[in-house]
This record gives sequence, structure tokens and C-alpha cells, in this order.
Amino acid sequence: MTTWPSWQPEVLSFLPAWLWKVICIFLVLQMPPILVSLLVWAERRVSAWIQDRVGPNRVGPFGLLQSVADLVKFVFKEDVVPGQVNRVLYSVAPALAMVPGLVTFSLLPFAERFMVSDLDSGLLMLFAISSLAVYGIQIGGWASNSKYALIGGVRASAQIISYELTLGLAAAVVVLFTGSLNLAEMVRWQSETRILGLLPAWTIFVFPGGTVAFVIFITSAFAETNRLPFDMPEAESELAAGYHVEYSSMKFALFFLGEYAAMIVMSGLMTTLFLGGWSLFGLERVMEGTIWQTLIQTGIWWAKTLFFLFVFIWIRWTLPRFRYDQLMRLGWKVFLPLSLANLLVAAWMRTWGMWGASA
Amino acid sequence: MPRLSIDGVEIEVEKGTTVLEAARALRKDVPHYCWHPGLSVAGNCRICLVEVEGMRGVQISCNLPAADGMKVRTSSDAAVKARADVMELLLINHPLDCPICDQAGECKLQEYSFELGSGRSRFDVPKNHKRKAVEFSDRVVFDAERCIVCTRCVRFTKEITGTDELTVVQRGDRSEIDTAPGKSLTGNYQMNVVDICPVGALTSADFRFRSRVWFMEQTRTVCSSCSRGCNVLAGTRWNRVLRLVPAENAEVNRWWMCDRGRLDIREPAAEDRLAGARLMRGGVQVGVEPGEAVAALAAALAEARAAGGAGLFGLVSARLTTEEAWLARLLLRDHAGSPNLDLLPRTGEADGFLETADRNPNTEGVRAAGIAPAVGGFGLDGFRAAAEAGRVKWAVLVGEDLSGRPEDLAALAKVPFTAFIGSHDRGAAATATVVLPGATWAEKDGVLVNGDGRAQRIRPLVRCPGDARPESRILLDLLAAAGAAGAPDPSSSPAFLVKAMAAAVPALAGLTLGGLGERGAPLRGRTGVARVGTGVEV
Amino acid sequence: MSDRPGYRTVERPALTLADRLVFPAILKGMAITASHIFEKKVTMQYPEEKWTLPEYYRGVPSLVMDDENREKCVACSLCEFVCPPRAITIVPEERPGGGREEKQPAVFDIDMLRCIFCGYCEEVCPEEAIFMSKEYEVVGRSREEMVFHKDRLYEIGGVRKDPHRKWKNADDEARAQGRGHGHGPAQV
Repeated sequence: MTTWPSWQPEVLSFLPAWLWKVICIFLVLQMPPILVSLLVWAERRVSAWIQDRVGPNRVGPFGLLQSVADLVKFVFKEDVVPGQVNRVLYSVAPALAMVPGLVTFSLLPFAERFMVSDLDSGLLMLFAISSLAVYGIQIGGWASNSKYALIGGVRASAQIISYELTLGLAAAVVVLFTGSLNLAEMVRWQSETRILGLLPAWTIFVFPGGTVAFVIFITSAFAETNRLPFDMPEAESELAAGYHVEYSSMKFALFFLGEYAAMIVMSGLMTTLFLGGWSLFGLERVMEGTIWQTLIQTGIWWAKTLFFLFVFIWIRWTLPRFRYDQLMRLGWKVFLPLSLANLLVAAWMRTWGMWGASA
Repeated sequence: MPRLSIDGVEIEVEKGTTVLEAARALRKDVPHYCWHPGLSVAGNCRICLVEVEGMRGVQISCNLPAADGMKVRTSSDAAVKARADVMELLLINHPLDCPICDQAGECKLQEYSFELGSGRSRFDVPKNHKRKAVEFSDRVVFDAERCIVCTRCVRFTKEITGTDELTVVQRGDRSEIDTAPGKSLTGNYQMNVVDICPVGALTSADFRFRSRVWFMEQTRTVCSSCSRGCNVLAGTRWNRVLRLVPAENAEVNRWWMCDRGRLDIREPAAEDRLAGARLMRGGVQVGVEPGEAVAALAAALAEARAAGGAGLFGLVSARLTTEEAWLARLLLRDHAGSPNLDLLPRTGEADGFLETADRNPNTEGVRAAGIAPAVGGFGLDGFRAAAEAGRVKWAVLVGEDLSGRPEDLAALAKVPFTAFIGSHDRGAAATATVVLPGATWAEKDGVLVNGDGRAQRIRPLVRCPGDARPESRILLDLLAAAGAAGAPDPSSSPAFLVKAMAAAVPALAGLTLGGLGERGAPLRGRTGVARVGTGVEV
Repeated sequence: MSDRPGYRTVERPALTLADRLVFPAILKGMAITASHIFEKKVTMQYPEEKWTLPEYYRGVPSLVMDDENREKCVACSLCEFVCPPRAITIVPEERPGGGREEKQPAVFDIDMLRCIFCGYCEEVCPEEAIFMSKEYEVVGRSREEMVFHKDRLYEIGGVRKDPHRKWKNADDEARAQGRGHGHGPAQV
């Protein structure tokens, strides 16, 4: 639809297009590691606050460098490879688990003129790549040649496959509304459309189809990322640590990184699909065409995403773990019919008007 | 033959037997301090009180001859109450220094105080203080405060050693034991007073403060300082022998042992113990694995055997166990064919009491095992001349390093190949072609035969240092390496070795390790293996 | 089951529609946890803040001196005997100076990797020489460092003001009776 040089901010138009792209890739590639380390710190601080504790506050200001300390520890820990493992697959699995998390970052539209790739089939691409993460987990669980790891891996794949259905069906509602698979296009539709001529038509506000889709999507996102209350693949009380029980040192850290990267991508996707992406009541149009606009839009996008990340942590320290049969029942018997019905409702809304919302 | 009943049990005893002895024969525990089975009756401690029907009050059982029809109660209320009162009197001036007293843990005063005492003194005046840490000699330290004046030690010097060195001085609660002014305890038996002292008044200067007695492992074994073979109780801790005290054996040493044997506990922990095998290479001894040294010695023995064995001299210590001597004979005579086997005699002066002239503990056993020059061979006396004449090509010393015998060592230097199997790095160990680290008496399990032909069992008390092993194990390995016919398997247990030896040596027929029991059994003129002993404990 | 004596049937609470939808309950839970974010924190900032230890607290076992800076321990080894994990090693020696104590520990080691802080040693000590201190920060870089020797144990224990002076009193009494402590041959 559009050739990519047009997304270059005008102030930086003197740069060759390819250089701008390289800068974009470089910037985006820095995001996951930095964010993950921040997220780990946040996870520990928030969990501490919720439990009336203080949390890590010793390393650096507010304990912000705790993750750096953790990283140093990971790097210097002995890389134990148990004797019974399949050595090749055992080594490949952590990378397989982490790479999809990093690659999907390239598809997220942080701002109108700041993204690595603006694909027309962006949503499909994103789902396709993020689904690959299950291979890392499943292969890691199998290659460890340990019953806990194997059960964890099997649980993870079953769980991810089950919830990918509802995840897709919920996202289909947004596709239906916006009429595009291009993530940037979806955001633009949400920011430009008005519900009853007032409220921006962020999908979450398009009741009932969009709202229900959001609830289904966020719940499925928890299951997809193996986060509590759906962290059965690593359930400490049952499986010790599940699929990564036999891993140590940097290999373990890669699993860790992949898991948190997936969480960031899911939050970003929710922001993009349901919360209007970079748009915020017209603020995204300030200083049109300057680099400031790009910065503002990126800031808005990240603010929303960070909110979702906070919700992830918040939920984790609120709810206990589901039982595996409850998880499966919820997925197949409740959410699947509900999302199918919701898709029909959304289609009906698309045909008969969405509270005046139309492009 | 008076017949009396003690606590309702009838017993018939010899005339002249005391009630205490009759009660002990029935295994009744009547407390006693001054009475000792090896000493005369003094009757001064008053703790052995019993009640006798028809007699007024309570009686001391140690000085009461058993009479026909006597009805004795050893644990009636009256007897126990009277004993408790005696205990209270004994403890009036006894200091409360059990924490620093070496006797604690094996102290009769402590035991009966625990049993009978109130745990609290009714006397609030200061205790009567006396001298402490008085050196009666360089071996015996006396603490007058702890003494209960039972006079066991006084009677020992009067009746057993006849030296009459100790006596009671002062009167009443000032009484204490003392030597004559300027004199001290003397002789080779003085430390027995430490053993017989029922409290901590007499302590051994050697063992003083070394260890609390309850930490030590107590093993009954046999002293190997002379051919008497006194039975001893060895106290070990931290892999060290800390003390030897006599163990009662009516057939051997009764209740006593000499100080020389008692203090002979330094050798197992000596600085110059051999801990590794050595091999002479290019004129220098180098450390090797024991297996390598065994192979080297076996190869030399094969040469000797091929040469007919006449050039091989074997010196086998009479400090070894009988089995070890037998294994040495199997190796050197039966296998290698040497007619030249002998032991090293050690002699001293017999003192007419326990210590004998033969200071080797197992001369009888080693001779019985066949260690003696054969017809046409030479012994230790002929060795020097033979070595000077160059007729000795190989010499194997088992358990003897010839230290302190410069002429023999000089002769040994003329022998092209010498092997030393022994415990200390002395004498021959420095120049031997092959050195294999052996064990001392404290590390062996086996049979010693004393000068009276009594077989007794010594037991391992501590572990050997490093690669050192009992000579029996080394000799078994050598026999296996040499391929000697009829040799026991290298993994044979000590008991099996004794059995195999008894089957092979007519003089030792019927001997078994288990059959020796605690007190051993006579070898000569016995029918089967008899267990001898009176069952009386002190 | 309700017809069986002693048994009572408990009715399951009827779930309302809100309960069955689950999400309201989840939101309620999230409200509770969120409210805790702003609660006062209970964490104690350890190295800067420390517990006030109760009287009965049992920390590192320590040796004490009496108020004349004399060693109270006479190496009776009862603590070594009673110690359940066998953490204590004592090697006694003769005490120089000729006091009535006669004995003192040449070596007094407590292996703090073994010590279980049970306090039996304090309980059994007939000389009141070993006390459980309030010290609980036991760290070391090696196993050897974790074996506390006599000097370190005295450093922790320090001096204990104590009127109980068994040996010294006995010495004084003996002197009053004209019977001092005697090494050497007898004086009649």
C-alpha cells in the first residue's frame, strides 16, 4: 500500500531511507532486553508492594539495577548440562523460545512513522511468528528428558494451541471492524472513527462486540504467555519449574527473556488492537509531521502498553493458579463458543452500524 | 562349708569366705572402696554395709566371715540408709571438682554418690582443705582432698611390692596419705596404685588431663612388652592409644601390670612411622605404590628360590603375631627354600613378679610357627659371618629393623638385596632395597603366645598411618605375588588365618581366634580350648 | 450422609449470576491487592535496623571470663559430650599458676557449621563458662573460618560479672586454714 520511505519523519528526511530503517531496527532491537530487565524489577517491586513489602531496593536507585545484578549472576553461573539430555535440541530450545518474542517486535507500530516493517498482513504475520514460541517450550521440555520438563512442555503446547483459537477469533472482530490486517491501519481507523460522533472508536469501546472481544483476548493472552493464573507449564508446586527445570545459567535466562518478551508483545498487541495504539484523543495529531509527533505517539503507545504490563503483574499477584482441567474447560467450553457468538454479533454490528462509528 | 542366704538366695562357700565375696559370687552389687580382691581386708570405708538377721544394726560385709545359716540382706532399707549416711560423711570434705578430676566417669565415689547421695550438703562450714597435685613420683600425682583414706595404696606397697612407701599421716579428718619425708614412690609397679584408687586422689602423670575417660574406646587386648602377656584394657581416642590399664586375668597378671608395659604406648604414634612403600633406585630410595614394592620383593624371592634359597636370610620378629610368623615361614622357607630363619631375642632381667626375662611378647608362638634355623642353615648369630663372607645374597627383615645393633647393620650392608617390612623408619629401613610399611602391636588382630604357653588375642586399637598395613596382609600379598603353593587367600580374615595355621602347624592344632575368648587359653597340654577365668571384676 | 448420626450436611452457597461470571470477583480481588500497594510496609531494613532480641535468644555459643579476666572453663568436656551434632572439640592441658582449677582448655573449638544452637552446652556447663550469646551473624569464607577457636569464642563472650567463684573461694579457704596449694614433696 505504501512504500516505506514515507514513514520517515520529515526532520530526518536527509537520511537515506535504508539508514533510517537500520536505525529503526537498532532502536527496536534495544527495546526487549531493556524492557525485560525493567519488567523483572517491576514484577518484584509490585509483588512486594502488594504483599506489604518493599522489594529489591538496594542495587542502584530504587533497586533499578537489580536486573543488572541478576544478569551478571546469570552470566557467571555454571552452565549445567544434565547427562540425560538430547544435547543439540537442549541447546537450541532456549533460542527458539526467545527469537519469536524479539522478531514480533519488528511488527509493532509504535508510532505512525516509527516501525520496522509495515506489512499489510501484519496481524497474520504476528500470530504466525508468536505461535512458533511453543516449539521452544515443547522442544526444551522434550530434550530435557525429565518427566517434569516433558509434562510442562506438553501442557504448554496444549494450552497455547487451545487459546490461540479464541485469541484469533477475538482479533478477527477487530479485523472485521477496521477492515484491515495492517496493524497501523487498524490504529488509524480507531483514532479517526468516532462512536456517536464523540468517543474515539477504540475497539474496546465498541459495545458489545469489541468489549467482549477484548475480555476474551486479554484472558487468552494470559494463557498464551503462560502467566498466572494460567502458568500450568511451570507450576512450581506440581512440576518444580516445568519445561525449564533442567536449565541453568544463560540458557535459563533466554527462556526467561522469551517469556517476558512475549508478554510485552501481547501487551503491545492489546494496545494496538483494542486501545487505539498511539492515539489519545487527538494528542497524536499535535505537531503533525515533526519528530516530536513521532515521539509523542511512541510515548502514548508505550504508556498504554506499560499499563497492560502492570495488569499482567497485578493479576499474577492477585489470583491463584487454575487447575489444568478448569483451564481446558474454560478454553473450549466457554471461550470458544463465546468468541464464535461474539464474531457473529460483531459481523451484525458491522453490517447494521456500530453506534455511528464508521470510517 | 558354711551355707548362707543372701537376699533369699542360698549359697555354699568355702570356710573363711567373707559375706562380701559370697555376695559377689552371686553377682550382688555391694558397694566397696577399701576392699580389693588382691589386697588384705582393712574394713575402714564402711560403705559395704549389709543387714544380717539376728545381728544388731548393720555389718560391714567385707570383714564378716560367712557363717552357716546366716541370712543377709544387701539392699534392705536399713542397709541402704546406713550406706547413704556413710556417703554423706565421706563427702563432707570431698571437693566438688569432678569437672577437673580424671577419675570422673569411672569413680566409685561419684557412682555411689549419684545412687545414694542427696545431691546437697548439710554442712555449711568450710571444707577441710588439703594439699593438691602432690607428686608422689614422676609417674603418680596425689590429691589429698579427694582421698577417702581407704588405704588401698598403702596396702599395695606393703603387700604386693613390699616397698612400703606409703602410709597414713595425721589423724581424724586431717588424715592423708604420704611418703616418708624426702622419699617418693619407686619401682616398676607404682602406677598400680592409680588403678586401685577408688577415687581421683591418685592420678597418672602420664595420662593426667589427656582425655575424659568416657570419650575413650576401651578395648581388651594384650600388652606386648614382655613374654608375660598381661591382659590390658586400652583406652583409645583420636586414633591414638592414650593409656593402658591392667585387665584382671587370674591366670596371667591378676590385677596388676608393670609401668614399663603401661607406658609403652608411644611407638604406634611415633614421628618416624613408615607410611609409604619405598624402593631403592640407583642408590636412592624413592616412594612407590605398595604393589610395586611387593612385586619387586616377590621377584627377588623368585631369584632366591631359583638359587636354592641358601643365600636367603630371614629375620622374623618375635613381636609379630603367630600367624604372621607362620606366613613369613611359608614365604621364606617353604616357598623360597631358605634354611636361614631366625628371630631377634630381647632379654632383660626378670623381676620375679610379672616382668619376665624374655622381652619379646611372642617368642613361643613364633618358634611354634617354625621360625628357627634349619639343619645346615644359620641363625642371627651365624648371619654376620655369612654376610661378611658374601654368602648372603638376600635378606628379608620382617618386623625387625636391627636399630641399636651396629654390627648386624654393618653386616647387612654387605647383603646385595635387603627387604624391610616393618613399622618404623629406623635402622635397616634407611638402607633396604625394598621397604614395606608395617604395623605395630596396636594395629593388629592375632594370637600371641606368652612365656607360659598361653595363647591370647591382641586386638587392633588404632588405624595404621598411610599405606601401612599389618604384616599379615603384606605377607599374604607377597605369597600371592610369588605364587606360593598352599598359601591362604590374600583376603583371608584374621580368624581364617588362625584356622589355616592351626591346621598346618601341629604345635598349634585346634587353635581358633574365637576360642580364645577374653582371657586366652593355654596351648600346651590342653584338651580342646578351655575358657579360663574367675569372672571376678574389680 | 445427613441421616448418619454425628454428620451434618452443609449447604453449598447458591452462586449469583455475578459469582458465576467470575470477572466481578476477579476485579474485587484486584481492588484488594491494589489497595495493598499503598499500605504501610512491614519490611525491616536488616543491616540498618535489627531485631531487639528476647532474653531467651540463643545465638553463637561463647566462652566467658570472670571479672578478674580469668578463664572460667576448666576443660571438663561435658559440653563436648552433650553436644548433639558433636560440634565441640576440647583438648585439656594443665593450668599454669597453681590455682585450684588445675586444668584449662588448650584447644576449645566450636564448629559453627555443625552447631545447631540447642544450648545444651550452656545448660550442662558446671562452671558457667559457656553461654549462648546474642550474636547471630555467623559468616565465613571457608570451612576453616567457620570453626571458632578459643580466642574468638572469648571475644564474643567477653567478661561476665558473676559472684560465683568456686575455685577462688576454695583457694582462699585453704589459705585461711594454712594449707596452700602444694606441688612437690609432702610437708607433714
